[in-house]
Amino acid sequence: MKPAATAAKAVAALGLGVALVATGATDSQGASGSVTTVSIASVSGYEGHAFVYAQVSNSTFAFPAPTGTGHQSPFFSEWVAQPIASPTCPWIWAVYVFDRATNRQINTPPPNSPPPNFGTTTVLCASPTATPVGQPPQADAAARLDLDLQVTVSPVVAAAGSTSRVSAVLSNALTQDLNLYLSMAIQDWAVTSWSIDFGDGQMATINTPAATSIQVPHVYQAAGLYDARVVAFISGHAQAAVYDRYGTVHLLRRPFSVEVGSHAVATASVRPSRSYMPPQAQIGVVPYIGLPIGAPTTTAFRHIDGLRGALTSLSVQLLILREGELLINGAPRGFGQSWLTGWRLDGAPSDAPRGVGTVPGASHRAGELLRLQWNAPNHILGGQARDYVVPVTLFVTTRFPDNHVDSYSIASSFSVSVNFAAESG
Amino acid sequence: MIRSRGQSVLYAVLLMPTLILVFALAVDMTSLQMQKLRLRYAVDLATVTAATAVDERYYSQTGRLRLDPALATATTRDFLMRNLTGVPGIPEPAQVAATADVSIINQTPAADPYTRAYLDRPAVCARIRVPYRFLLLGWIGLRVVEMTVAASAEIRT
Repeated sequence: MKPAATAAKAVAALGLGVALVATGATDSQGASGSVTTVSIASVSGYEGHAFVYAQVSNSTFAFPAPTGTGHQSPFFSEWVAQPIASPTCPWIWAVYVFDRATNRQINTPPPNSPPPNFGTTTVLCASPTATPVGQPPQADAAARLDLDLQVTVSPVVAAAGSTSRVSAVLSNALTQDLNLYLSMAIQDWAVTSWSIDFGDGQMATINTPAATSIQVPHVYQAAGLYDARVVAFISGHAQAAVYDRYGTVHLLRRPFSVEVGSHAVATASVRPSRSYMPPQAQIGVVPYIGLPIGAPTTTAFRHIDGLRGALTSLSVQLLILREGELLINGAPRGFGQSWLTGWRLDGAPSDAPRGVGTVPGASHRAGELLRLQWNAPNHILGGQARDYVVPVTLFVTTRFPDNHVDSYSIASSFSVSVNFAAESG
Repeated sequence: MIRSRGQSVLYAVLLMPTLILVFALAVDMTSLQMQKLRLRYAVDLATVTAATAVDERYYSQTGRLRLDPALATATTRDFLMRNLTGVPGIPEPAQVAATADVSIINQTPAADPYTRAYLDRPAVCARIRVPYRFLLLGWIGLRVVEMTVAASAEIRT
C-alpha cells in the first residue's frame, strides 16, 4: 500500500473533523540497490479519534536471501519457530543466519545469556494465525497507532460558581506488522502537553509528560451551556526493520507527531441563593487568682464569684449556643464552625491597678487574659454582696460548609458576685 | 475607852480578810479579762489570715470561691502559734496551736460549730482552750480555770 493511498483511506474512514497533519517519506538504499521507502501519516482528529499510520515497503523483495534460491551469497537466513510461549506472545520466531559453506549458524546466542536469547534483535512475536514461515514475500509492512480521547465534565450539571472537573482519558490501540523481510512498529509515543478550552473564554495548558489522563477543576461563573474541548499533543517514533540478504537487520527510525481532541458539554445552572446565618454565641470565662495554673479547663462560666480586692485573670471563651448555618435556596445545608479571634472589654474601668488591669475599648486577641479587680463592697464597712455585669464584645470567625468564611462581632456579658463579710468573732 | 479599843480590834479582825479578798478578786478578774482579750486577738487574726487561703484550682474549675481546707488549717495553726508566742501565761504556744479546734466551712449557709454564728460564705472557724492561773485567788484555793476562746473569719483577701 502506498503512503498517499493510506492517508486518503484514513481520512475517508474518519469522516468529519479529521485533518491530515503530516506525511513523511524516507527512502533507503538497500544492499542490493533496491529502494526501501518508509512513510508515516499522522492523522489528527478533534472528534475523539486520531491515528498514526506507518509503512515500510521494498519493491524488489531481495532481502534476505531465501534458502534454496539462486543467490550465491555466503550466508542465508530462515525463520525458526521457538519453543516459547506466553499469554501475551504465543508465537515467537527468530531469524537464524547461517554460513552457506559450512551450514553453521553464525548468530548464535551469547554463551552466558539467560534464555530466551537468540543473539540478535530479530526476535519477533507474530500473530498465531499468520507466521512468517511459508508466507510469500510481501512488498510492505505497516503499523498503526489508534488514539481515542474521551472528555467528560462532572458533575454534568453544576451550579454556577461551583467547581466542575473537566477530565480527559486517552486510550490507544496498537497494530504492528511484520513479514519475512520487513517489519514496521510504533516504537514509542507519549503526550507532550494538553490544551483545554473550557468554552467560557478561559484556556489552560498542562505539561504532564507521559500522562494519559488529566483532571482539571474549573468554575463556570455564569449559567449556560459550555463546550469544553481538550486536545492532547502527542509525539513518538516509528521504526522499520529491513533485513538484508545476510539476515542482518537495518533499522529506520522516524519521528511523528499527532493531535487528538474531543469535547464535552458542561452545563452550569443558575447560581443558587446562599445565605449564611451567623452563629449565636456568648462569652464564658475561666477565672484565675493571679496567673493561670494547671492545664486549661474546658468549662467556661457565665457567672463567677469575685474575690474582693484581688486581681482576677479571666480566660475569655466562646460559648456556642447555635452554630452558623448555611442555607441554599432557603434549605439548611449544614452548620459551620466558629472560633474566637479576639475580644474587647466594653465596660467601665475596673479597680485593677493602673497598668495591670485591662483597659476598656481596646481590642485583644483570643488567648489574651482579661484582668479585672473589684474593691467594693468596702472591706471595712462590709455589707451586702454586689453584682457586676461585665460587657464584652466577641470577635468570631465562622467557616461554613462551602468554605465560605465570615467574621462577626457579638455583644455579650458575664456577671460577677463580690461580697465581703467584715465581721469575725 | 477600854470598850472602844476592843471594838477597833474586832473590826480589824473581821473586815481585813474581806477587804483583802475583794482586792484579790478585783486584781485577778482584771488580769483574766486582759488575758482573754489577748487570746481573742490571737485567734481572730489567725483565722483572718487563714481566710485568704483560696482554693485557686477549684475556683478556675467552677468559678466559685472556697477555701483550701489543708492550706487554711495549716495557716490557722501556724499563725496561732506565732500570735500566742510571747503572750504571758502561755508557756507552750506550739502545743496550744496544735491542739486547737479548726474547722473549714465550705458548704454555706452554715453555723459556726463553736460559736453557732451564721456563716453565709466559706469560713475558717477556730477555738482554743488555755488554762489560766489566778494570782491572788489561789490563797483561797481557786488556782486554775480553763479559758475557751473561739473566732471565725469568712473568705477574704
